[in-house]
Amino acid sequence: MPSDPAAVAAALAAVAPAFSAWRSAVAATAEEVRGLLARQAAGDGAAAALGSFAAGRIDVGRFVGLAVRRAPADPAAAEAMRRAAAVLSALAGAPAGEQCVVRVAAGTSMRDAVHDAWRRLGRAFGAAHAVGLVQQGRAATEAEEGLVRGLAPGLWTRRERRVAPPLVVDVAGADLDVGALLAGLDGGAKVVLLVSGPCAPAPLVRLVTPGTFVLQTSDPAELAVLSKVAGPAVAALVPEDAAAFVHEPARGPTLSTRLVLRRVPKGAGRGPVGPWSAAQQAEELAQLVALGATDVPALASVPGVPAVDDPAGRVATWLLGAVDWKDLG
Amino acid sequence: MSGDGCSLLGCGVEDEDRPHDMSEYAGAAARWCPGCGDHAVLTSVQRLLAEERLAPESTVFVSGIGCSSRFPHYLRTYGFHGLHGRALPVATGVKLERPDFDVFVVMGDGDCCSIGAGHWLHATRYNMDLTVLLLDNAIYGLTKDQTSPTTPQGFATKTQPKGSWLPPLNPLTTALGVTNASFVAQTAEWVPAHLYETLKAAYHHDGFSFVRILQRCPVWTPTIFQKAVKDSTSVEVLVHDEGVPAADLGRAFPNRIVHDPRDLHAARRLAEDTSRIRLGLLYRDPSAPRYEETRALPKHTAEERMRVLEAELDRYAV
Amino acid sequence: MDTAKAPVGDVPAPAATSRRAPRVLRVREHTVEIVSDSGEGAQKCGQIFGAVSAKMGNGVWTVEIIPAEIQPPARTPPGGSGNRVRIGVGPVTNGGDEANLVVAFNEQVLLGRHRLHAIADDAVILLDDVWSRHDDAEVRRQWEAGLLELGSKAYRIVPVPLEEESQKLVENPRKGKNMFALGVLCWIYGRDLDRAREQIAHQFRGKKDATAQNVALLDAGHAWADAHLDLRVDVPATPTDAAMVVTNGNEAIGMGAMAAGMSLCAMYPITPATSVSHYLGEAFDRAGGLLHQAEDEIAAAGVAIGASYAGRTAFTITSGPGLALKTEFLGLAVMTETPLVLVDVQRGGPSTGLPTKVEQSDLLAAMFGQPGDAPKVVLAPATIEECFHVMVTARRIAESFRVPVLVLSDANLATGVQPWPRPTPDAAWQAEPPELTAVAEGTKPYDWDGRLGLSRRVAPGTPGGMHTVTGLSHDERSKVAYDAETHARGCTMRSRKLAVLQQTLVPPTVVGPASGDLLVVGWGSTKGAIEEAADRARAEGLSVATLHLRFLSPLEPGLTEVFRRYRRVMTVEINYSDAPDDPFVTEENRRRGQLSMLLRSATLVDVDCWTLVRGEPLRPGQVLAAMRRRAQTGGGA
Repeated sequence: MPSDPAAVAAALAAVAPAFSAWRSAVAATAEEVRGLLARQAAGDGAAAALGSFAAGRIDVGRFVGLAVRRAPADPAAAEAMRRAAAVLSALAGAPAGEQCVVRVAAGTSMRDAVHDAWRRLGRAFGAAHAVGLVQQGRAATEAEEGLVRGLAPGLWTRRERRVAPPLVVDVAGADLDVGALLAGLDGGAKVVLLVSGPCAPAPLVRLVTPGTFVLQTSDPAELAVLSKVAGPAVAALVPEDAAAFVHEPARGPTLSTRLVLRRVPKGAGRGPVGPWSAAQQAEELAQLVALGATDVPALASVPGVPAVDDPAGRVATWLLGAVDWKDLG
Repeated sequence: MSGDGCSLLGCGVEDEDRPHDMSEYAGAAARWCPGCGDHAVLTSVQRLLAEERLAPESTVFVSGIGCSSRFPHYLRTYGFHGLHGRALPVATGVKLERPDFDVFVVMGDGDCCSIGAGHWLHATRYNMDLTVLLLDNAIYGLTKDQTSPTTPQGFATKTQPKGSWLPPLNPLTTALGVTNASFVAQTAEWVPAHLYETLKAAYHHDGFSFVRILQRCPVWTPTIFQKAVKDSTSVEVLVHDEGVPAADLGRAFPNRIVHDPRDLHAARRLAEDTSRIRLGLLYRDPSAPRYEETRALPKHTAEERMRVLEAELDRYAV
Repeated sequence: MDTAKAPVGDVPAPAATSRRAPRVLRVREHTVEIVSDSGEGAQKCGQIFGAVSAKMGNGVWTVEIIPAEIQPPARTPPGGSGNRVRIGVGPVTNGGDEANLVVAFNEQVLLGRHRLHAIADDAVILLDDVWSRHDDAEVRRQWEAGLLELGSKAYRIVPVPLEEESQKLVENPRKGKNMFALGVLCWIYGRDLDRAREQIAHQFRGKKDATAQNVALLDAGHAWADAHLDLRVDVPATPTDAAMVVTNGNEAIGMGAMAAGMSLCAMYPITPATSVSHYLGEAFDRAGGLLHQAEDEIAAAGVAIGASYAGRTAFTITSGPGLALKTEFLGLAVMTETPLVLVDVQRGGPSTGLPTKVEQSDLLAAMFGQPGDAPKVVLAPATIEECFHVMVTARRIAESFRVPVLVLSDANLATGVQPWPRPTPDAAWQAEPPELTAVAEGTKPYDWDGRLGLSRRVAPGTPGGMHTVTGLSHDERSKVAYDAETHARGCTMRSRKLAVLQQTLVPPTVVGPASGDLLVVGWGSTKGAIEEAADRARAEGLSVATLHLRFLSPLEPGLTEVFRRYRRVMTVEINYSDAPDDPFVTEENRRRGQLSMLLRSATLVDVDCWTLVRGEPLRPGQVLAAMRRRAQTGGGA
């Protein structure tokens, strides 16, 4: 069940700055490669490049002969550059809605869908690499051609990861696979998950690491905060019965200052969701509460919580107690 | 987002793949006078470049004219040794064109506080991400002994042999008085540890980091900081968790004052009082808007620019 | 009245009061002026009238009439503000001589134009006579004195109740008259009212009420004229399918910069260059360009040079006083061989001079203003269309030759409005940013080809090419060096580039006879007036040819040979020169027009000059008179 267009729009707005940075870098690269190509072709387009004011006033042949530096022509190199330029121009020209939205068809692999998208967008980095190879005189090699076909996020360099393209992933809760994001969640990467249908209560908890911004919410308006995050960030728009929390690296040095729990659902772990067993769901929820140990709202009002000194322990005990173990058969 | 619109070519090469040590940043042998404070600043800067592993090809030092403005020649980065007083406009242009570059500006006291003072005020207000060093030896040294705006009152020079007529300009209160100032620090050439830490803090500040470095000119003003050099108790070090780390200075500089660099009024009061020399971070506001961000525009491809142009021509079409 | 303005239809005698079918005057061209107090909107009226005429297929040239002060007192001769619009059957290349029809909102602003001899003796003048019935006796006295003075010419003055009629629709007596006047003009010239309404809607886009009110005024003016006026003027239009755009020269420069792929303009406000930035302020960022308003003229040059040094060539725009301030930075750009485009929209000088008015007095300052030898390229567009195209060429030359290129426009081009062929932008104009591919360690930043003086630019960002550029004398490695050999070689290499560029130029084309009595040489915005004057001179049987230069540094080739084919050679310029018969002036001490000085030194031909510094565009009639005198007197080259 695809998410509603408003949610997609909110997600795209949240990743707009990241997309703009990515697109700018690709556009600038496309320009540079086009420039290199123009230099190789210098002479052919020189009359046009000098402009109409020069028509009849500058002898183009003499101008080119005397003043235009030409790169040595190598047809294979030029062809490879053109391939790279075409890839870069295409990527620079397409809007975010076309490039960055990944729709995971029900029952298919989110990992494949996400990695395909990253590989496809990574062609920009691949094309830039390819140009480098060509300039080192290694045109038309296997490596150069492969780079333009796709470059997996695992192969992106640190500087490339800083301008990584954002993704908006539209996925059913049952198909959610947060592990699929690990390969690209680095540098300046931004990922928004629009989760529909039944969903585990705290699927994003495994992504909480010191430098990664993690937001799980049911309010599309909250996604906007992503636009202000500098480092890697992932946000999931989840159904109302899942947990809501935010982990903001900029808020402080300790986990308890960074993680704010906004909602901890009561009825966690009623049954398996996708690959999550009820126990795993409870584990994740317990992990979430443990991470955000202090200052959990509304804990005191949870009935039936046994008296354990450590509040995280208290919640964990209660959560595990609430699991309906019968479903595990 | 810094690096907006900058090409990916070359990004495939990891910074970490390259060795970086100080010697790699050394350019021509420095030809300042022996004992000149500029040497100490150069050494600190080279150390900073090495420790921060800055790519030499995307690091630009812009200077004006004067002894200190020879600085870029002694580094193996890109350098722009321009006009007297006009380093800041050139640096502004470099940073606008290439926001991904690390741009440093090196000026002397005549450069920054006299002939280029107008640019100084406005560059502070633009608050672009530049690391700006004022190498202040209170004299025109290259042209041999003329009074500068920071020459102490009464100090005799060739242009004012009866002693400087006017009280000196205070670069710190000046900088702190400008709208949108975001980083103002003072350090001294004869306290290398503090000098290095200050430069490092300045480099890491996102905005216009203004560092006044007190210096002696061994030829023309060797005595101006004599008291401070000989008697470290006459110097006060500003300390704070948010400030320039000064733990190592403990024994040598016992006089310390806790100053929160977020407090602009306190910073102005400290800067105003010139009865003693203060080293440290006076003010930092990382939230001050930066011009290159305010004015950041996504780069367009040639095709996109042509589309905009066609639309413009449509507006004026008959 | 000259031949060009001779009526092609018949002109019956004007009827005084009782109006029957209006007479139609058919002419090949007509010049109309609209003048009002500042703030009454005559300029807007003129602009819309010009645009509508252009859209209907007439040739059009519009000149702004600008008061000397920002808020001039009302009802004063020097305070008049408005437009001159010259329309023709074919292309119109200049503002023409005297106006044939004037709409004046009061008699004082009309006197201002009268005293400047801007109005033809037989002109029709539509004058608001509300002042003759004014409550203030002093105003009535001024009105009578004014009309007495105007009586010295045979003007046909037609009273028009602009204010009284407009006030039926608007309350403020200073507002609304302009659109009423536009309605009157549309009736006289048979302009398409729908196009006028469209143009009003365009001018007031986003303001529905204002549009509706102004259209009502337009219609009222049209209806009033239909009921009361007896004279119509027909300048046949030739509707064309060729796509045209209507802009002033400054808008053309702004668009040209975008067409040239430039993405940074650093400037400081200065008249009459500022409107380039007004244009760019609206349009530039849509194309990813950055308009940086610097803290002063010097900083504007510095920012442009810093940006050019770091990447794509940037440009700065200024006028005379700003050019003076940028002098030191221009020298630095020459010395560091940093590409740069500087546009100087010239105005009257010296000093603050005539900020809003035209002059061509910056040529020598542009070429020689920098202390030390600072060779650079100087180009001058001659038309509004060329203001657009010159930017592409300027950027390409700046980058190919690593040299600053100065583009000299002027207030006449900046504020003139004209339709011109819509350009077909070519992606090749966008030109590539500098090459940043790694170079070998030790690559020289000034690896001069000893014959050409040219070298590859190694811009920051290029791995391996690290170096420090300097304004000090330096060698090929950019190392500071004060020795004689190094300095002399640097000067030679920087100069050689101009010789090489000159060798790529094509000799200029002469318009008119290939040899004869007089060759008139011009540059910049005077082309239209000079060529129109020469046409008329040849029609009178004079042997006059013209040549218009676009490249001033280096100069276009073959000039000596061309000059020797004419008995006399004379420049026509809008800058100062001593008249040969002025007191104390001798052949030896005579100060000549700036182009004439250049040409004399380059060709050793005795190039004479005829110049005016009246703050006005040249009128073809004035140039014609000068041609007659020179072509008929003896002596020569």
